[in-house]
Parts: sequence; structure tokens; C-alpha cells
Amino acid sequence: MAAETTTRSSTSNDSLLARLSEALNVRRLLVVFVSFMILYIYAPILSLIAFSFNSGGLTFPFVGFTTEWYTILFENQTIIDATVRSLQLALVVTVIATVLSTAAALAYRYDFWGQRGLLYLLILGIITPGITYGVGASLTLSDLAGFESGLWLATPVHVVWTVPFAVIILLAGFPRNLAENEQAARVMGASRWVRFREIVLPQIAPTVLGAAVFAFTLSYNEATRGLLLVGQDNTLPIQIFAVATGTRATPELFALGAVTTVFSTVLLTVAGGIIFYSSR
Amino acid sequence: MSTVEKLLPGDRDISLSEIHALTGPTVLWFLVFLLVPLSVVFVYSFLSYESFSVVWEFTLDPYTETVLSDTIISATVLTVGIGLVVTVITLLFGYPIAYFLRFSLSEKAGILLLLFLVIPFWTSGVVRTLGWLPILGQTGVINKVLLWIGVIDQPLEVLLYSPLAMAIGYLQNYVVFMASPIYISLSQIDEDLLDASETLRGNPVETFRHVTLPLSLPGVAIGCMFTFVLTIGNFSVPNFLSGGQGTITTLIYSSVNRGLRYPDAAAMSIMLLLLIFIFVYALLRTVDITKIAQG
Repeated sequence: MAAETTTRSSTSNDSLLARLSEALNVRRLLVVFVSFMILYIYAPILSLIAFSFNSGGLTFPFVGFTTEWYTILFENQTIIDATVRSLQLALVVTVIATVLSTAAALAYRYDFWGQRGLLYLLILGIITPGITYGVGASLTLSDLAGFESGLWLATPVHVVWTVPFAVIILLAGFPRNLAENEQAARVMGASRWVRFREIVLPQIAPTVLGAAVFAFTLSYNEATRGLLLVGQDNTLPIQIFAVATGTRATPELFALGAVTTVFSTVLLTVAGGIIFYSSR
Repeated sequence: MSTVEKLLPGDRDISLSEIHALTGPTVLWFLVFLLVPLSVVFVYSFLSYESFSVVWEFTLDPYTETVLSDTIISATVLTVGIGLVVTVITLLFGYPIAYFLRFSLSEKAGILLLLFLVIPFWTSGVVRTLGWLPILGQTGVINKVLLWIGVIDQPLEVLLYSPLAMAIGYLQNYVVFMASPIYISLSQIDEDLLDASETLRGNPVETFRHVTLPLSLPGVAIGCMFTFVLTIGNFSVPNFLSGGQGTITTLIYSSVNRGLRYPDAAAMSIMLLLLIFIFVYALLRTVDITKIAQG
């Protein structure tokens, strides 16, 4: 925080020389600031991991090392079931969302009527508060359309939540000359399918993978939108919320957080590796 | 520059049918699963409620009795206030991160660090919020360390269950959401423009103010939109870090959860949506966010 204020006040200094000398320092201050922010962003995660091994539970200082909380976690069938449900839902949502968003983002290679309208429609999916949407979806799907509550009823809602983010990532990540390259292939007589397979797909594949990974995370962590739809089939975030509001924090939840973090780090590293490898 | 203009003669129709095929499924999905539910919420907000069930009779009661009640108005003011304050704080902290990622690192290193920053968000928001308890609590890490150094002689209570704790929680949640779109905007800036500014003897501050900052505004707008909306909708921070104040989001949830008061919940939801529309409309009036999609 100290670095932040210094960066800011330095810009109001008026002497040119002072500015120039400070411009050099701004970079150093930026490094300090970003290091501090990385630590801050990771603080709750580090806290989770550290205290999940504390035999004294969630209070500082450390009493002793234990893996007891992990044993309790892995014996908790409710949590395991909820995790499995979350993974299943997130997988299905990711597949649908990736197909929809890739197609929609590919349309933006062209200028077309309604391109702004479509973007606003997608943004509506993000800006609608989770609880508003959750209430609306449960009234529509359960009360009016008469579908039975359950895990899969949350699928359409999660897709609406993830597609806009995926489209934004895809639009930002598509190569600038995608349309031109495809056009060149077209002039040379390549069919639509060949063009897609040989020209478009290799260029967009890393971004699509990135969007898919992001969609998976968003769905896996989403609680409010599906809250009123899943009935008894609690997903992991809903289950965690129920446990945490009932009993406040428990060390098992910390163990769970630690496991999730390690798992997702591995997954992201692999995905990141693929993206970098294939973009070479 | 329009790409369609560069097509061969007769290609226009082909690309139009292609566009319909590409966008059709998404448009349909969003009409059925987003616009219809929101319309249903709107309709329900004008319905009556009697003994745990909704009665199909038109009434303005959910608005006049619930939304305009003192409790809800003050909760709304609090919620929007939190949203605005968090957005400003997050922007102040997020922009330098995006700037660092773009200008202090190579493209690959920038993306890699951004990916690294995203990792904590794979852990459920609730658990992540709970992670602050051993740090900020009365006997938490910060208090113990400060006591040990001797800066304070009794534990700071302001660290937990306070507005400060909420700010810490929200900022941790959304600073990366703010930094990412700004980073994307900054990445799209043509380096030649920055060189041109330098050639014209613009010092770094002037270059930032007249070139970099204006060109990064689409990212700033998207980041502010994400942060404002997600902050308002956040469940965990008000539940686990506040001193017990309910935001409008938690109130909507409890009106459904305790007694299925759907018309009240619907009316509050509509009001919340309206406030968000006003915020987003004001943003879109000042910044053209579609620029981020055009590179």
C-alpha cells in the first residue's frame, strides 16, 4: 500500500528533472507494489494451506502439525458427493459454453448487423446479479415450466454465466489477421471445412483452451445462480456455503481449500504449458 | 475496416448465413434462458403474496411496502455505496498491476504472471474469504505480529468484522478481475503511438495521460463493470467479514429462503438490476467498450 501512494504522489511533482528521475523509480516502485499485491492476493490461500495442518485449528499461533483435518475431509461423504457433482456440472457446462462462445466469437471476424446488440446481450449475462438471475431461473424453470429441481437444471444458468467471459477472452485472444489468412486460403480455393481445419482452428486453439479453462473455473465456483435450482443436489460451493454459515469456519474447509488450490495449480500449469507450447 | 468489404463478389450472402449459424445458438440460448427468466422476475414483482404462496393478482405492494421500506432503502444505499467504493479502490490497485504486466514484462511473462494470479480464484470464494479469519482475527497473524513488535499494546478490533475487513476481502476478490481487461486494453495499444509521443518530446507522465490512459479506457470500463456488479452480488464477504450488515443481495436470498416471498424478492431484484443498468449505462455513455473486441 505504501508503494501505491508514493507512485501516485510522484506524478503530481512538476519539475521535469524530478519527473525524469522519478520515472526511473516508478518502475522499481511498481515492482515493489506488484510483489506486495501478489502476496496479498495469495494471503488467504497461504493461510488456508498453513492452518489446514494446524492441530490447534484456525487460530494463530501454530500448536502442532497434523493431517487430521484431511482425514476428516476425505471421510466426509457429503463433501465428496458435492465435489463430484460440481465437477460433472462444470464439465458439461464447459463443453456447451466453449462451443457456443467459439462460434459467437468467430462471427466477430466480420462486421455484421447486431454485433453490438449481441455483445450487450452477452454482457447482460454478466451484469445480472446472481441472486436476481437465480430467482428468475427458478421461477421460470421450476415453477412455470415444471422441471424438477436437480443438478442438471443448473446447466443452462451456468452456461449463461460462463459464455460472456469466454467470448471476451476469445475476442481478446484471436489473432488480428485471422480473417485475412482465411481469406487468402479462400482465394486459393480451399473449401469452408478445410479453411476451418487448416487455417482457423490451429490459430485459435490455444485461446479456445484458455476460454474453456476459464469457463470451467467459473462454473465450478458458482453458487448463487444455481442455489435455488439444484434442490438437494448441492454443488461444492453451495455445500461449503451451507457448512460455513451453519458452523462458521471449520478446519476441514481449510483442508478442502488447500486441496482445491493444489489441484487447480497443477491443472492451470498443464493448460498454460499447452498454450505456450502450441503458440510457438 | 470492414472485413466483409474485402470479400469476393457474391461472398456477402455466404458470410451472412455463416454469421447466423455462428451466433444463432448463443442468441437463442440467451433469449430462452436469460431474457425469459428476467421477464418472469419482472412479472412476479407485481404479484400478491399470501401465506407462503404467490397469488396471481396485480399489486404494487412489493414495491410500495417492501422496496420503499426504510430497511430496504438503507440496505440498498449501503450496497451501492460498497459497490462504488470497492470499484474505485480496486481500480486504484488494479491499474498498476495491469500496467506492470504490460510494460515491465515480456508478453509471455505477462500472461504467465496473470495466469499465476488467477490460481487463487480456483478455490471457492467462501473458503477464500474464510482464509482471512486466522490472519485478521483478534488472535490472528497481523495482531500477534504487531503486538510482538510493540506497535500496539492490545489487539486491533478493526481488522475483522468491520468495513476494513470487507474492503480487504472485496479487493482480494476483484483486483485480478479489474487488472485483466485493463491488461488486454493495454496490450492492444500500438507501440508506435508510444514511440511517437516520445519522439514529440512527451515525457512519461504526458505519454501516460494523453496516450496510454485514454486508450486503456475500454478495459477500465469493463473492469469497473465486473467489479461493481460482482461486489454487489457477493455473498461471502458480507456474510463472513462484515459486522453483520446485510446487503440487498443477502436480503433477497433470505426473503426467498424464509417463506418463499417471491414477489418481494422479485421486486428487490428488479430494483437492483435497475441500479446496475444505470451504472453500466453511465459507463457505456463515456466509454465505447466494443473497441476491445475490435483490436
